[in-house]
Amino acid sequence: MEITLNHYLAVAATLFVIGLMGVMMRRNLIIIYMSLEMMLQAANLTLVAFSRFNGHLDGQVFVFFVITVAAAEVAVGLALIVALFRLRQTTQVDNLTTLKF
Amino acid sequence: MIPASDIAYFAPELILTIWAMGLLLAEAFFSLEPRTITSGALAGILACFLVTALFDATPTLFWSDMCKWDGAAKFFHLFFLAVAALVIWMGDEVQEPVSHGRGEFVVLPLFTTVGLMLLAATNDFMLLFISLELATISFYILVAYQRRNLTALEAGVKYLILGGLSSAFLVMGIAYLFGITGSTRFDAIFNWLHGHHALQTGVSFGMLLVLTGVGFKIATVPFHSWAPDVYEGAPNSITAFLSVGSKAGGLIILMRLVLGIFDTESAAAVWIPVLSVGAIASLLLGNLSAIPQRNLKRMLGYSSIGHTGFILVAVIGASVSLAASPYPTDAATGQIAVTVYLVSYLLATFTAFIVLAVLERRLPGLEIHHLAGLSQRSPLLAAAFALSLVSLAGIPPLSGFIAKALVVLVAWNRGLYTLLFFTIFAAVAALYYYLGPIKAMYWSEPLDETPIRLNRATSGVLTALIVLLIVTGFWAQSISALVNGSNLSPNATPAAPVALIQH
Repeated sequence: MEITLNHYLAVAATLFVIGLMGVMMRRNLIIIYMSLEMMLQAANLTLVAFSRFNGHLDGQVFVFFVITVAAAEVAVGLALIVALFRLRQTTQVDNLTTLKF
Repeated sequence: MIPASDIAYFAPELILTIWAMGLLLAEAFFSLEPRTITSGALAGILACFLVTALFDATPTLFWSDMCKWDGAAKFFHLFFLAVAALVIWMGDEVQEPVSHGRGEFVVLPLFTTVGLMLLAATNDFMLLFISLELATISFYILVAYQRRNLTALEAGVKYLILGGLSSAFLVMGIAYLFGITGSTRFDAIFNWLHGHHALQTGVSFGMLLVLTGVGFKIATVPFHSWAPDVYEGAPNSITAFLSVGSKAGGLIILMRLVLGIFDTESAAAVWIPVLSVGAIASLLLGNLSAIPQRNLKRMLGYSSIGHTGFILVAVIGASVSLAASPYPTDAATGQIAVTVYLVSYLLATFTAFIVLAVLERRLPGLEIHHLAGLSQRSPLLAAAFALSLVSLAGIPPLSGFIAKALVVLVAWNRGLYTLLFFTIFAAVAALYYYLGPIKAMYWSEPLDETPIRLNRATSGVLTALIVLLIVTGFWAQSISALVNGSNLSPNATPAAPVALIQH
C-alpha cells in the first residue's frame, strides 16, 4: 500500500484528538501539559506532511518556529507548575479551587 | 538584502526591543532604582510613540511582504503604546509594588507590547504565530508574577493551559490553510480564495480552527472560561493590560483574518454565522453572569466578555460580503466602530482599574459592599469609578455611548437585525450591574470615615482620563480622524471619510 498525504493527515488528526482528550479528561497538570505538547506536534506533523506532498518549503520552516516557541512556552509553563507545586504540594487540577470556576 | 525602507518601518519595534534589553542589562549591572527603570521605560515608549506617529498611513508591504503597514497598523501601534505606558506607570506607582524583581515587572510589558505591535502589522501566518506567542508567553509570566500568592499562581496556570490550547488550535488551523492554499501569506490566501468559488472542506476546517484560537484570546463565548479567574487573580495593572491590550491584539488579528482574507462570498457564508453565534452568546453570557458577581474585578471580567460581544457585532458589520445589506458601501463604518469602541473601552477600563488598584491597598477587599460611602472618603476616586462604569454601560454623553451607538448604527445599516436585538438587550441588562457599585459609593454610609489621600500623579492621571472620557464622548470625530483610511481589505479602494454621529 502506498502511503499518501491522507494517511499522514489521519495520524496527525488522531494525535490531535488524543491530545485534546488528554487536556480535557486528565486531572494532573503535568499530564495536561504533555497532552498540549502532543497537540502542537500533531499540528507540526500536518505542516510537514502538507509541505512534503505539495512541494512548498514554507511549512517545514514554520515547524522550526513552532518547535522553538513551544520550547519557550514549556520553560515558562513548567516554572509555573513547579512554583505551584512548592506552594500546594500537589499538581492535581481538582485542588485548584481558590478561584471558583 | 533588506532595503533601507524596510528597516524604517520596523523602527517602532526595533526601538522598543533594544530599549527593553538595554534596561534589563542596565538593571543587572548598575542595580538601578525601580523608579528609574519605570521612568526609563516610559521614556522609551514616548520615543517610540513619536516615531510611529511620524509614519503616514499609506498601505505598504515590507520585509518580503511579511508585514503590512496601513491605517489599522498605525492606529493599533499607537493604541498598544498608550496601553503599555499606562500599565507600566500603574504597576510601579499605583498598586502595591511586587515583592521581587520589580525591574523585570516594568520591562516585561515592553516585550508584550512589541509582540502586540508586530501582530498589528502582520501579513503572514508565521509572523502572526510568533508575535502572538511573544505577547502571550510574557503574559503568562506577568499574570503569575506574585508567585508566592496562591491566587495569582492559580490564575497563571489556568491562563497557561488555556493559552496553550488556543495556540495548538491556531497552529493546526494554519497548517490546513497552508496545506490547501499553498501559502502562509494573507494576500496570497485571499487571492486563492477568490479564484476558487466553491469553498473546500479543508479551508473551512482550517478557518474554523484559527478562529477558535483567536476566540480564546479575545475571550468570546464558548472560549471565555479563563477570563474571570485570570482577571481576579492577576495584579491590577496586568488585568487592565489583558483586558485592553490582549483583547485589542486578538481583535486586530480577527479583523485582518475575516476582513482581510476570508471576506469572499463562500468563506463569509461560513464565518459570519459562526461569529454571529459567538457574538450573541458573549453578549448574553457576559452581561447576565456579571449581574450576580460581588467581586469587582470578577464583575469587570464578565463585563469584558460582554464587550467582546459588542465589538464582534461591529466586526461582522464591517464585512463587505454581507448579502442582505441595505447599504453595501457602509462596510468601513464597521471598522471605525471597532476602533472607536476600543478607544472608549481603553479609557474606561484603565480609569476603573487605577481606582481598584488604589482601593486594593486601602480597603479590606474588593467586593461591592466595601465601596460603601467612598464618595465621602475620596470624591475623586468615587467620581472616576462612577464615570468609568457609566461609560462602560453606554450612557450619554460619555465616550462609551458613542461607541455603543456606532455599533447599533452599523448593525442597523448592514441589516443585522437579530444581532441588533441582542445588542440592545445586552446593553440594557448591563445597566443593572454597572449601577450597583455607584449606588454603594454614593448612597451608603461609610464603615470607615478616614479620607483616602491620592498622590499628585495618580489624581492627575485620573483627572486626565475623566476629561478624555467626556471629550471623546462629545467629539468622536477626533477618534475617527485618527483611524480614517484604515481599510483592511486588500482589494478595496481606500475608505471614504465616514462622518460619525454629530452632536
